[in-house]
Amino acid sequence: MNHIVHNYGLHVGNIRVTGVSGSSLFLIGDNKTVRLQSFFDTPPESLIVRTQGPVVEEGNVSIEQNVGRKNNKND
Amino acid sequence: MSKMSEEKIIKMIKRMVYVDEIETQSLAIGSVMEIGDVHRAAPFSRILAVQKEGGVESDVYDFDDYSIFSMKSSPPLPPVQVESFHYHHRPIQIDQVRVLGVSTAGTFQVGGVDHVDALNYTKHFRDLQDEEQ
Repeated sequence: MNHIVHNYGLHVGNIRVTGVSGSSLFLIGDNKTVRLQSFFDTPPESLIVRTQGPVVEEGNVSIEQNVGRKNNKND
Repeated sequence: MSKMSEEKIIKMIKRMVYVDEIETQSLAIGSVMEIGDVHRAAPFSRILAVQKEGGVESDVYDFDDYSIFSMKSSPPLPPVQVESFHYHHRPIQIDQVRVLGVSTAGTFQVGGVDHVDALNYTKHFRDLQDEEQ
């Protein structure tokens, strides 16, 4: 197998990166091998988003049978 | 693979990189920002992120008490056995780069790098005074 690469040109105007974290790599240039590993453990509570107090609002939802589909474009 | 072709792959010439402007705000926890060519970069970090209830008194936490830090990584893959030829016609040109933060064994590199091997262990947990954890 004959693998040929032509790097004709690369001109980038502007790069904006907010964060490079957790064994990540932001590379401007050439490389051979990359191995990025990250072991991450977080408790489930830190991922659950909930309000402080009990939810007092209640909603009533009634579902109608969907009969004719041809005029119901927002379905 | 013959020794000759192996040599060609190893000796791949890296492109010149021209960056006019770089702005970086922060580099933290085993991170690195490098300008220039590097043979091997292997950043490593171990983090215990503790949220403790009831104030901050100094406490000692041991990495060995948490199993995540003793997890073994997979062995590296064998190198790709493909003979390749690179023709660099022009250098890389970047007008402006802005990186706000690099953290936790992260790497921001301008220039060539042969091998990168980054490893990070992060464990978050809460240390509550009573009730369930």
